[in-house]
Amino acid sequence: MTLEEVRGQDTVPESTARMQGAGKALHELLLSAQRQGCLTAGVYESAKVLNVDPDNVTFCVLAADEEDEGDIALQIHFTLIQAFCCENDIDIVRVGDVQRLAAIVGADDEGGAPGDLHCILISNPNEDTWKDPALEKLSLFCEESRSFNDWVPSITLPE
Amino acid sequence: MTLEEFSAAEQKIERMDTVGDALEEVLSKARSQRTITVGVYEAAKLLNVDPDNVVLCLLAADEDDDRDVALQIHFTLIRAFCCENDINILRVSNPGRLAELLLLENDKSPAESGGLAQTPDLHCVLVTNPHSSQWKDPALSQLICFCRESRYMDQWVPVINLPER
Repeated sequence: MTLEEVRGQDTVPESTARMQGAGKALHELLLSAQRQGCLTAGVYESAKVLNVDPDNVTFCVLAADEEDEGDIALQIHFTLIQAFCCENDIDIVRVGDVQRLAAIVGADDEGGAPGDLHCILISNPNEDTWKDPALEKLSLFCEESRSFNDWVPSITLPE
Repeated sequence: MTLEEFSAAEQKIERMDTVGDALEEVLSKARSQRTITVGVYEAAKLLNVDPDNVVLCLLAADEDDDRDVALQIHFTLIRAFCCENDINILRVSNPGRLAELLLLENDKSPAESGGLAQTPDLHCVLVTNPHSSQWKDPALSQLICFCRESRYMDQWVPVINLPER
């Protein structure tokens, strides 16, 4: 094993830890945002919020399963929402497991049918005391990802 | 009004007229060369799969459309996409004229008269690069220059009035 290969291996634990940290932070952020009522779910509802109040949006999650990849209309909306978030400096990530996302966010719906979870927005609450460490961790994660040209990084939610 | 103010105002009006003429010319040529995509959904599809070939994007809405929430959402997203991907984007202030211009071309082709049966969605129109490398349109160059100047003045989606005929 050459020195380069050794270095290559050294980066793996770092990447794994970074990814796991981001997943955990996203999990915490979603729960916190939902509790405080500053979470918007659904492509249409999210697009409405982005249209009327983009300055208050702090984070965007796009979620799609393998089955959704064939949905042309959804992919179009993803492309446009991604561009909007990049243009307006809104941190944006992708999640590949909608089921896992539903388990976190859908739980609050008392018996209601799970809604559209393909797009989720986190807005600023009115309270000035909002200093969510999970959000700060995710913002740093997104900033780092952008620094090596990963504009919409993928996050795996913890099981 | 001082002489300077009058001259500047006159110059601006004259410039806007030429830009409107240039837009009309670009649209007519694009229509004949089939490098035009009409409709919000079709345009969004094209932006999704082949944004690099889009040279111009037009958004058109009248007063009734301003109350259409879904349309306004699409406008906002398409606008952001064009800014993010360096696609020149304009708004047309007289959509009726745009309809006349694009539908008039249809009338000239009997084979295409079937298209008149359905009212086309003209809220979003894209002009793409034709495959022929002979595309050196002075009207398009003028429009691109106009868009660039507008962006310098922080006007990201300038409004153009198409000339009446």
